[in-house]
Amino acid sequence: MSSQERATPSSSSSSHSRIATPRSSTAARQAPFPTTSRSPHHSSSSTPAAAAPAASPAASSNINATGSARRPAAAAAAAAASTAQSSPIEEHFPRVQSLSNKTWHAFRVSPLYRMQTDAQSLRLYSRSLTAALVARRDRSHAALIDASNSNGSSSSSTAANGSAEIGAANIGLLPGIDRLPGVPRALGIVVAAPPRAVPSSLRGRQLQAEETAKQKAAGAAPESRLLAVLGNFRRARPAGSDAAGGNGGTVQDDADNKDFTFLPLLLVKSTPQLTQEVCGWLESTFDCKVTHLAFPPVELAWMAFMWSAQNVSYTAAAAAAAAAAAAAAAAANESSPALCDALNRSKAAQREAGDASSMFLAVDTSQAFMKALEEHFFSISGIRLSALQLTRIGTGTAYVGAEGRVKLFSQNPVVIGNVLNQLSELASLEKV
Amino acid sequence: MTLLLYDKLPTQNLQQHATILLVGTHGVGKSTLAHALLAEQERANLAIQIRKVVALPLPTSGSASTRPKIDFVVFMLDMTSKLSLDLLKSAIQQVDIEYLIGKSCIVATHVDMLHLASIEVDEIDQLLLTYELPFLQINQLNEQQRAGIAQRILRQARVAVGRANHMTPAIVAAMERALVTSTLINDDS
Repeated sequence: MSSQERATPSSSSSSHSRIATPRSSTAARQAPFPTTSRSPHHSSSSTPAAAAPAASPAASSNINATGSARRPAAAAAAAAASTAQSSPIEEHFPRVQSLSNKTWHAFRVSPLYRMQTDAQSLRLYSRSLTAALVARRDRSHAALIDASNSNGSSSSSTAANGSAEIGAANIGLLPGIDRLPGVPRALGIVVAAPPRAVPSSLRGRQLQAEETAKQKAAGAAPESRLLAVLGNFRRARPAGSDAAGGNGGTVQDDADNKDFTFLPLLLVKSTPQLTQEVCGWLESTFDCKVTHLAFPPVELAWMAFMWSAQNVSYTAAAAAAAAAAAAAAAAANESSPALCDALNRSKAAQREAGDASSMFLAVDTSQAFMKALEEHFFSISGIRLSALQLTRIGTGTAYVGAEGRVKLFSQNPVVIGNVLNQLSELASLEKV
Repeated sequence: MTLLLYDKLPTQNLQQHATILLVGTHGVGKSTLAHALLAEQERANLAIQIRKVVALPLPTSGSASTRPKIDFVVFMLDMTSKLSLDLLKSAIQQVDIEYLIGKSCIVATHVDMLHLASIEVDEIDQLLLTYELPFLQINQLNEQQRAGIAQRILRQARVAVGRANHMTPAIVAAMERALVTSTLINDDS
């Protein structure tokens, strides 16, 4: 009966049922073990998120008391936070909206060799990443990593013992982004900040584990921060999608490429050292190359045009951050009608073309937009923008810098999808 | 005032050299190309004189009468500067149509700086479609490329000036197109 209960919530979730079913089977196996602690869990189990904590998150592949004590609390937290998340790994991950309002550093990743995206492999990768991070931090200590020892100790606590700054690293699928049609999966890397003290004795370790568990029970989100997002957000072209533009998620796409996974865009937000370590781990595990993704002025201009057209409610003032003050005087200026006209035309084209084909906006409207912008600026300040290099653009949707920094503002997942789509397109282009 | 081809007589020097005009904004690489052209003139068997200008039309003040007849015009384009494209478009319109048949070409510099590329390829395609000029791309830092481009320009200039026997730019252009159409016909049959 307990497995039945668990089955119904998992079937209610649409896209993650594939992940949820192995989870529920492991949970069924764990069913007899601590029955007493699970009765409060059953009472609150009508929510679909009950399947998630019942199937015990990956970080604690534990069956001990500390783990089960946090299941009801985690159930409450998960139930409050999400409606469609049923995979336990995804319980760690914030939704796609959390991608916004953060400055991401963009990298381009060459195709990953032999990367599996099922839950088992993701757990393996999580452990491997944790081990790598811990090992690099503790060069002075012996590199005995307890992460490989999964008996009775959660990897989070062992990792917390070894490192001063890293808790557990988790790799899992990001929810929310899957909802866009035709978009393959995205992976997120979450690093949990550890407790402050680094104990040295066995007793201290137990205390450590309990403390970690308590902290996790208090609230999963404040502890862990979303470190990196690795994905391929390109949408399949509506008409005649070629193999090159296909999704990278399914590995068995081409005969040649069946060992490779294409996840070209990597967004990282962390310290440079940690970034370097994570990229190094990626390179060594999957035999790929992680390089900076720089945006040439051509692409920046294109992005500025596309994303200023997306905010229908914004006026011309929001379209160019530099001209924000100038736009106030635009009403009196005779060149501003050209700018407003170009903007309106692009917006109209956007609206009638529909969101899916927004990437197919005509080049000449983009040129007209830039030309109007330059003329407007020249008439106000006498500076020819065309003689200067475009290094940073700011629209209402996103700020992008030429050195590869991106900051999204929009909370709308469709808009975020558009932005990520464009970035992935750029990341997967082959440049010299 | 447009740059006319036939309003001046050819230079009466003993050397009978051709005059090449380089048109482009500041920083596009005219001096570098000029030095490369001068270095290659021996091998190309053509004595040349090079003039540089930032924007057309040429000023009609004092030195206008002593200017030689321009035989070949090279429009230069900087891939990292959008301004150069705008100036190029306006410059092409200032040039007599006689120049656009085999007596000019477009050279794009700074092509290796992809991370600073400011010009869309579509715009250049439009330009080429409109004017059908030979389009050469060069990374000016590379010596070999410089020499190669200089050779090509001088070859075109030789035909333009008339130093190549029985060859005019119009014939060359006609032959190019004839080659293309003949291959198409062969494919059909």
